[in-house]
Amino acid sequence: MTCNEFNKQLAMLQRSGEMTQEMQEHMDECASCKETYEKEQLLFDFVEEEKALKISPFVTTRIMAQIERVEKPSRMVARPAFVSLLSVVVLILGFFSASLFSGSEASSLADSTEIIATDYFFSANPGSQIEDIWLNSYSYE
Amino acid sequence: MHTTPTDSDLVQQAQDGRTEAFSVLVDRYRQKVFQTCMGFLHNGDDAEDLTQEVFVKAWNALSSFDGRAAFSTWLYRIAVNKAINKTRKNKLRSFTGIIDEVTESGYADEDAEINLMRREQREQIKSAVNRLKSRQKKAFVLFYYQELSLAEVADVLEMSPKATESLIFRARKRLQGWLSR
Ligand SMILES: [Zn+2]
Repeated sequence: MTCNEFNKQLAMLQRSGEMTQEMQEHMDECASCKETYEKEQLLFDFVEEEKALKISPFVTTRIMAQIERVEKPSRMVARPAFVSLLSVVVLILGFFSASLFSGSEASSLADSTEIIATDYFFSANPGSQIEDIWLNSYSYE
Repeated sequence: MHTTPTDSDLVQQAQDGRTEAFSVLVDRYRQKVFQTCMGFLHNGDDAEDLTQEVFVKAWNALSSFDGRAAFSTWLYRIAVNKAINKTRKNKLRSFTGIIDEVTESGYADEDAEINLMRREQREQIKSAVNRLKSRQKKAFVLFYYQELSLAEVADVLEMSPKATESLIFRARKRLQGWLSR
């Protein structure tokens, strides 16, 4: 076996410690290949040592904290938008229920509903109140 | 009966925004990802920081994970790519002198002298591994630090097992050359 063959076969061994008889014999006679082999052993000792190091279990907590910190803003924006939408719904329901109590007949309920609706859609500034609620809830964030 | 959820169960739940499912995946793979990071950075604190970055990146990219590869394969792909980028940045930083090399302490007694020799050997090994081309380095680290099979390394690198095998062989050959000098 030549030195070249030895080196090639050494590099082909996928895991260390699988030397053939032939390689062993060559190494016994060849100081330079013996040294190559020993350096390789040092390399694999080094790899063993590095991969034996354990990661701190707290890394999971840190990762999850970072993920949830990124997640939060979207939820914070979503909530006031939902709350203000809800308040608008309650407001409109309020109009309806007021007319329900003030009106004595069923027909007057229909009339007043129409008035509220036309007031809303044909006023000079439709929906301004709703817009204000939305804008304010964002600007306070 | 309580069964352990599979990776794909957990991934699906995490894709629906359930962070607790993702945290199970983190627990399952943090040590493996950390070992990969160690193979590139050779420093526990840096490798831990990078592990954190890898999982945060995985979470943010989770919607793009389509299940064609195993979750672990996809995760290791993120890990090796992030690690390569990190080592490039570190190289640049050490080139511009921001990182100060550890200065030698005085070696008064024999013990310290042996330590110094050991440290020099370690430095030689580290710089040899660092000198590998990125594909060779990725293959070497996945195969030796993480003990993936050839087929698994091939999946991560999106190469054939045969090409992966020769990549590892070339990496070993180069290391051999540099170390025996
Ligand atoms: Zn020889």
